[in-house]
Amino acid sequence: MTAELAPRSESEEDWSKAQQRVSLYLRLMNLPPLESLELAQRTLKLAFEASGQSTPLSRSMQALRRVLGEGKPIGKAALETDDPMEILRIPLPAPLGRGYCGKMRSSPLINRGLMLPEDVG
Amino acid sequence: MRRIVLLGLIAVTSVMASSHMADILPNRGTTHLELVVVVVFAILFAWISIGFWEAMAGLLTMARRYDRFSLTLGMHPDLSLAGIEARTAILFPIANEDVERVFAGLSATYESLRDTGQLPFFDFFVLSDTSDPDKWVEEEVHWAGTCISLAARDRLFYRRRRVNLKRKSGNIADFCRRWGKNYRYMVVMDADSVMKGATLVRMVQVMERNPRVGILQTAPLAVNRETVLARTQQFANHVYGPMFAAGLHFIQLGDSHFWGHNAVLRVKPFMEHCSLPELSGKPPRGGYILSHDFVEAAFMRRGGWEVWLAHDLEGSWEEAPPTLLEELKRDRRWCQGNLQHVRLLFTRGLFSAHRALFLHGAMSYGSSLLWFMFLVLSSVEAIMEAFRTHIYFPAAGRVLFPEWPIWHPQWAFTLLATTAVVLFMPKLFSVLVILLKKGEAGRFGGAFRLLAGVFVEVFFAALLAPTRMLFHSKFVFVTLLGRQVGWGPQQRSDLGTSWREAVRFHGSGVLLALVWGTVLFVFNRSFFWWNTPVLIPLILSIPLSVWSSRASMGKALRRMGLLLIPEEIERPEELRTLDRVLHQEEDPSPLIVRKEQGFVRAVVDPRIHALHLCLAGEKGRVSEKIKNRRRRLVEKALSLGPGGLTAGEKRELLYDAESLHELHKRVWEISDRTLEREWGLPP
Repeated sequence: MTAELAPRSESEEDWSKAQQRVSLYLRLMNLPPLESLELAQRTLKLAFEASGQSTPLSRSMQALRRVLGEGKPIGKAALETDDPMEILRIPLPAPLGRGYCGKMRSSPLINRGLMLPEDVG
Repeated sequence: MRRIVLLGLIAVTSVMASSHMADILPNRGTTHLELVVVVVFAILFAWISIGFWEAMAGLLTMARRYDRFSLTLGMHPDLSLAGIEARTAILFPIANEDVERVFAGLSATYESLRDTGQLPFFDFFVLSDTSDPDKWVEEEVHWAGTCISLAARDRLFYRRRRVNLKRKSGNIADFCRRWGKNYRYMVVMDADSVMKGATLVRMVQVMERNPRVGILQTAPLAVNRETVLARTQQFANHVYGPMFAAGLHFIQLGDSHFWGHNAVLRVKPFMEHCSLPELSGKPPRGGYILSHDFVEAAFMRRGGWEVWLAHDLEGSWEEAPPTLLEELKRDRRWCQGNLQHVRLLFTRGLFSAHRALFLHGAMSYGSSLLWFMFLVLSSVEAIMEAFRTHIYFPAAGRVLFPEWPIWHPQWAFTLLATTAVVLFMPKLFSVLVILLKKGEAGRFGGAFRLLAGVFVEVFFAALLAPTRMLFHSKFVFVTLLGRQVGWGPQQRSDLGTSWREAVRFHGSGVLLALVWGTVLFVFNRSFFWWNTPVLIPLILSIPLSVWSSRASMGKALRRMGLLLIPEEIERPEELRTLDRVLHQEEDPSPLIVRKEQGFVRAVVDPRIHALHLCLAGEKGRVSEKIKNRRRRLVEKALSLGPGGLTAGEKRELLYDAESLHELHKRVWEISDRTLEREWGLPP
């Protein structure tokens, strides 16, 4: 698919590697195969259309982050739940920052108490 | 009263034995050297008498089958906490441990508790002091995975401290300060602990029923190991342990031990009375208190709360060190901690029973040094005796007959036999208790195998005792000199000891035994033969250490039906769960990364990366200088790969979400073959 579209300066091998890397990333995200395929297609199209000095691999990975950052329901819906484990099922959103992790936490809210060292004199 | 009787019995037996000892010596204990020998012997005999009389008290308790001081006496068999408002936190404080094993043990305990229907009264906390960046990520992954597999959302929590102040005791205190007010009780577990759900519920019921109890300690049984050494200890722990535990309970009552894990503690008094101070001076004698559990028990008691050993509660397990070297490494830490307690002996307000426990703890290792001294002094005496010219007419010209040197070997044998009785009689009684209880011997493979197992265990214990003595003496000596020890993680798997390692650790001991033996052989041959039970095992310590660390030999003993424990014959549900979780196959990752490479996984694997960033939380602003340093670290990681980073550098990147995410993005754009491989990306 990508080989036919590739300009001469970028080899088929470069685009093949980029395609494999994008697929690998999406596979690691545990997305359903069809959804994964659709995202990969969109990503590679975006990467091919993008101009710049970087390699097809870099352009593809940057494009993938843009695609994932578009806020497809898979991610957003999960973040709005308070199930901390959903993080394992969602794609990594591109922007980090407040609210990124939703209500996920690994420990309860602090209920501060006092514990002063004992006297051994 | 019980303690006074115990003291009396120890004193009487020790005085009798040491006067017998004095009679055996050439000058009847009249020289300075002989006097020291007798005094050291008296202390040592008193030390072994404690164990003997405690065991006898245990025998009495078990034989009566009724213990009016048992905290579980008359309790309703119903295991329900309905109507009780108390919540309990089950804590797993860990530091660089085998992560899989920790979470497998936690899962086993969790599932067992769930089966009781009382899970809503409990929460689980993994409190990490882990410094290894790979293990840190591994812990996060296992925490998340366990939450999913157990559906333990909002019941299983994970907290990692950035600064490991006061180690384990600081970790527990940190929990108490943050969430202690949410719980009436906390159960402290070890990294390899497993507990039955019903036992946990029963412990809470006991605490509710006895509002003056501050700590309730169970007597955990050692299980799961396959090496020869660990299997002998498991066997001893199962066969003799219950009687000794019953004896401790009989004597200590509400002034008992806290062993630091597999125990339930009342949180509020713990927070009020058990925060440990820093001792003045430098480690090892000063600084943070290392063996914190004994001190916490003493402080709890000082605060007016009782500390009990629930010797009759079953379903509490731990694991023994797999090799002699691992055991000795652990002992070195314990030795340092226990000797530190001597400084607390005269702390204001402590109960005398706990002062005695401090002394007892110090003597656990100090006795080895005394034994060593006893052997050295008696060897010196024997060598001097060889050079001494006997004076046949001490008051020349005034006596008619010469004074012949008389040696009574039968007296020496009597003393040896007495010592053997004190050491081995409790073991014999423990076996008798099992044999007399219907069906109990079958849990150890039958009466014949039980007896054969005892023979094997005693043989191994006798072979390893001199090596333990030598090392413990060294530990005490080194600690008294003020040299500190590290606090590394324990190896908890059945990996054996290599010959190289064994030579490095035991070489000097072998050399000492050879020189010692040669000198005795040359100057006093009869005394040499008396010392062979110590010298020969020391000379053989290298192969003994290696062979006893072999799981294959332990398994062979198991196939022969030797050293069997009930858990090996009929596996409890909790230990079956543990096995199941440990042997669960993980989904193969398309990345070429081992699961132990936590840092690489946190950088490369998008889901683990996201999980880590979320757990790392949002951090405050940092200076430009720190930002620049982190930028350089990212560049270093990209140019050298993960192998080019130190543990500290990996930790710094893991702490900083921004740098880690930058690294994540750029690693996925790497096209260099070597770096791809380093980061686990397929070519």
